[in-house]
Amino acid sequence: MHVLLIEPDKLLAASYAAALERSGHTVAHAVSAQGAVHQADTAMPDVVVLELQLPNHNGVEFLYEFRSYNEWLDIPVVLHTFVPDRELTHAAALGRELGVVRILYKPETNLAQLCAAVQAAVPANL
Amino acid sequence: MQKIGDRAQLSSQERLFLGLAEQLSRPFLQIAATAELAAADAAAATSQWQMVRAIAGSSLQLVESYGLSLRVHGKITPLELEPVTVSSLLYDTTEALQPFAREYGVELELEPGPRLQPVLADRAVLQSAMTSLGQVFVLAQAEADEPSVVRLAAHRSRYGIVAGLYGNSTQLGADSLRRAHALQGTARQPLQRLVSGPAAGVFVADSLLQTLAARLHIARYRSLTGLAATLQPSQQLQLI
Amino acid sequence: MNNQQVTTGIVLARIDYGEADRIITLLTPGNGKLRLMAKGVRRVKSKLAGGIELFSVTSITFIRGRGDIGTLVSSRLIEYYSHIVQDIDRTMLGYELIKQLNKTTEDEPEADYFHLLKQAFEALDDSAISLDLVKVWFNAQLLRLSGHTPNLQTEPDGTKLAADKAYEFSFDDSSFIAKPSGPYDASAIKFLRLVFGGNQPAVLTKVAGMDGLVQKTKQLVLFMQQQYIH
Repeated sequence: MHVLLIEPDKLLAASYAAALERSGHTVAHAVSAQGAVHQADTAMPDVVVLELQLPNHNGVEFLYEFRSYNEWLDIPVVLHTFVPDRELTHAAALGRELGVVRILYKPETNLAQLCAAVQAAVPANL
Repeated sequence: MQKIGDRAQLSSQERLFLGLAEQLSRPFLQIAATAELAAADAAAATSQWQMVRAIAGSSLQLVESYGLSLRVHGKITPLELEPVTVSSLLYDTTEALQPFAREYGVELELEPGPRLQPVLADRAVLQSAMTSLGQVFVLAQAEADEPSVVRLAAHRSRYGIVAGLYGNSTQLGADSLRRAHALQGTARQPLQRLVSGPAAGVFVADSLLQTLAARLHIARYRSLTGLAATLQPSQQLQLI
Repeated sequence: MNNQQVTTGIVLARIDYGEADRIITLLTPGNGKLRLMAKGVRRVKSKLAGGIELFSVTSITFIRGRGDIGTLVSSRLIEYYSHIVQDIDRTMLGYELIKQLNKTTEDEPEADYFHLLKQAFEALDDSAISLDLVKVWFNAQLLRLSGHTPNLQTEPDGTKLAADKAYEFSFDDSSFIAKPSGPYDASAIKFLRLVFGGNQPAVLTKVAGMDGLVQKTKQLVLFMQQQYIH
């Protein structure tokens, strides 16, 4: 699968990309919402891994922008974020309206769990 | 379980600590992820352990800096004021930040400036402040899409000796710094125009500088924007 | 160019159109909802929104089209409420309010709706104003503008509401009815009078015990909105 990894921290991104590549995926990395739109345009991802805390435009803004393009409407998004999910008061809306299929809290998610969530995000891969 | 609204009830010290705790989850996570990868790949281990050391070192520095600010503010540790040459201090800061900056692919440039009068300061406190600030700037530059440089520079202004850090990707204004002070520990991204995370290092630096009767302020230097402290020249040497 | 017009506007929605264009729906004070084609802005690197930031008030120059959709000529940012995006929950509430307003207004909403949304952004931009207060206030203004302000002065039979009684709310009568175990007391009703009276969130936030009053009245106002407007 082709994974679009949206992660502002380059060190964390390097670890996540390495783990995803070891699982057999190709990974495109963006550090910002605008960069992510550009990457998605260059190579359509099968799944997006998204940190909500991004510079300039946050992950929620990215999601609204992403979903305003027809060809990206059905691409599943896995949130992998420093924002604790119990503090995300709009978690249900994120799922229902923005196609977020899984919310992972970074401090409690190891690389193996991240890879498993990405794998499970695309139904054909189960 | 605290609701988001409850954060606003915290005292400013508690909020600084909360911001610090949130910022520290990042390097600990980096260490854990790097270790997980290294465990599976012996060939890559050396460079990954170097990364671990650099990250652990910078995190410890941040915690120590915060501890120092608490001890000085609480008058547990007395200030030791002496004439400090700002350029040599920035040189030491550059050395301290180098391993961390290298991991993030950020270049550090030192501009010590012309021969400037020494300032009267506690060297350890000032060093801690500049290093804490430096970490935030390295992170901010690393998050930018363009090539990343952090400049450490000292120059004279009519208010005193200005020691600061500057970057080509920073877009801070005085207003956002003021709001960030108010938001620290209550919003998840109080310094969004600088860096995407809590940026506790800025507030730790500010807390330390307060003990020296200086505050962080927005500064511009040779077309770069950054944060700096203005310090007063030491009168002591003039008596010699 | 003679057929160009200028107006201020707030973006309500953006959708893509064809290979290179986007249709942007804007709420304006004098032209209701404007749908404009922004040509060639898809995937433009410089701005996420293809030229117009969300959570902003923009001055736009456009040409009216023959049909529903005009053409965007240029835009200039007047005010950008940049602090909204500093907090994930503020961002999400911002989107929710925009969507709500878009859904509850027809194509020709009065200028009041534009000002309401602008004031909502101002409130969201101010970290001292709680999100729950913004939500209660916004929904109350939607009710007020659509002519559904509840009766906050008397019971259905005309008896004035008393300071020492407890009340429940009757949706059929859109009024409060005295009831010994009722959940609403004088302080809650007074607060509702302030909210429905058109006071700004910056003023309401200073009311003593505001947090508690918002919690007491939030569900009621949201239910009213669902009952009377949908």
